[in-house]
Amino acid sequence: MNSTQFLYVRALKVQNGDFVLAIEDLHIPTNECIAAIGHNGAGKTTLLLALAGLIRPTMLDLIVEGTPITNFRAFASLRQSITMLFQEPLLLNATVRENIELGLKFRKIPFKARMRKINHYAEMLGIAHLLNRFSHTLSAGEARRVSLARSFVLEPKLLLMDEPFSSLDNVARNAILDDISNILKNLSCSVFLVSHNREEILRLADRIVVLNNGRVIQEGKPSEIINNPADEFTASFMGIETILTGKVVHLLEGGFLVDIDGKTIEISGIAQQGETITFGIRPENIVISKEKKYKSSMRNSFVGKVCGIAHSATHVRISINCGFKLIAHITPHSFQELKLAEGNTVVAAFKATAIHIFKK
Amino acid sequence: MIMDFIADGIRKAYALAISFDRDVYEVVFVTLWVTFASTVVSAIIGIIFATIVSLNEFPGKTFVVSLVNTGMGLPPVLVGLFTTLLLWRGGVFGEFNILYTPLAIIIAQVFIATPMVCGISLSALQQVPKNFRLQIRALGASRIQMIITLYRQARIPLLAAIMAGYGSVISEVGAALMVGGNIKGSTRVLTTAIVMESSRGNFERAIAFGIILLVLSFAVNLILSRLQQKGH
Repeated sequence: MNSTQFLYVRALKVQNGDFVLAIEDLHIPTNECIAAIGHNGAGKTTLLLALAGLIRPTMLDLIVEGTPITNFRAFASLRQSITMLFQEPLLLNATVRENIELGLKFRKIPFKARMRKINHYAEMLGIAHLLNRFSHTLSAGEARRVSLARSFVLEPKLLLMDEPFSSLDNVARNAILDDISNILKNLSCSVFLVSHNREEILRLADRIVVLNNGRVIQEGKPSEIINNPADEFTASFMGIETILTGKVVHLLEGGFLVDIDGKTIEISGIAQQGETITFGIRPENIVISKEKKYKSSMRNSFVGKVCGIAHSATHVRISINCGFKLIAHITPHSFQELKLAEGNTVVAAFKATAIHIFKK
Repeated sequence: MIMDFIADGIRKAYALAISFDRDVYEVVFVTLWVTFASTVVSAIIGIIFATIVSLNEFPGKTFVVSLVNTGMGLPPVLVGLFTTLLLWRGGVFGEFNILYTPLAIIIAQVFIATPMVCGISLSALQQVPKNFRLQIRALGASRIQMIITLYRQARIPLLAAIMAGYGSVISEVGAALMVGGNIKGSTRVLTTAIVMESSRGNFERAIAFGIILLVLSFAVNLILSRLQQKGH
């Protein structure tokens, strides 16, 4: 990881009606990919537009490559080293070559240099054979590759991406992510990515920033966010599918009991009597069996009925109604061995230490 | 009998075209010059105004757009009356003696065509997604470069706007008659010539002028359509 910084946001404020985006102390190091996640309306796109210089902030205090910037005009002059990709490809009604060339023409790059760059990035993104095609004849994946080429060809120092792969299927997305990873290795480029796709973020991001209501509520490496999500949205995004709320009814040594609709869950941690606690359990931490055969270190064990089964390539997602809903992931092999079906009665168990409590 | 008139009109149109009749060529030349000038001026004003309105938010924007849309249906004779009052000897611009000159026709036709060009251009520019403009700016375009790219993106409906403006002026007769006076060799255009020949009972000549008018209209629209459909 490169320790130098392309952009440091000391303070950035954008007012949009009643909504206020207020960002402080945000680092975007050189050659790193930062991913921003958050609810719809959290301010992710507004932040991207402000960093791209496409909307005027009410307050701006940045350091860009070591140079302090505190007014919009000075920041706008740096736009040549920053570019942004939107959710839609937004291609011109023109050929692929003319589309990729667009930014280079704005910068008055000479013809030979333009063609060299276009051919280079078209090769890297696997679209060299499409250069003479018109944009309206392209598939969604091809159009996205063209819009990527159009941005990469400018060799920006900061690439901002707003859910760039949301309209692609998994196969197309994975193929593009491979190509982008290769390009970013060779380009000295920071990336700031907004996405609602966990796999995409975990694949590309060096750090994750969680936004809520216009503010950064958590920042850290993906592993830090996964293991210690700040709120329910982040937990859910990071794969914690069981999120419950209950009242602390009894304190124990090293833990406490929480009541949810008459059922009691033991949680490891510290809480106050009578406190309302929201907590989550990762689906891979819930063990399912057909019967409760033996005593184990799992403090929580509930009988319930299977109310949903969903198969994916790597696991089977089981929904269990124990009076509250639990979501478990088991391997297809286990699923076959247990011969599970909807309506089956099962025992779902999990450890008190596997529960993550959300701080208020 | 009507078919005979039309057939004679077609024969007459051909004969007039190849005979190099001075009167006919004068009428065609004035028509082309006046419609070309008014189309170009209304295209420039209409597209620039549409650009300003579509790219900016301001109080009263809906009212302005409604005015433009209303202007698209303005009766040409009303425009002719208004222009006559402006250019009349005692009018605001009376001292310039523009009335009954080709310039008067151009002015009236600009009033007719500009709302048409503006209204369609406004729709054309507003249908380009706002994110498209932001994307173009994000690629490093200046405001002027962004506008030019926007025109390029919306060139099909923008050319349709110009064609509509051209169509409204080449076929217009009321205002041309009122402010031009249908003066031979000066302000007689194809439409006023058709009215004159019809009122004299010279239907063959009127039909001939009509066919020439249609051919001119088609020829210009063919050129503009080729530009419009290029690369599509």
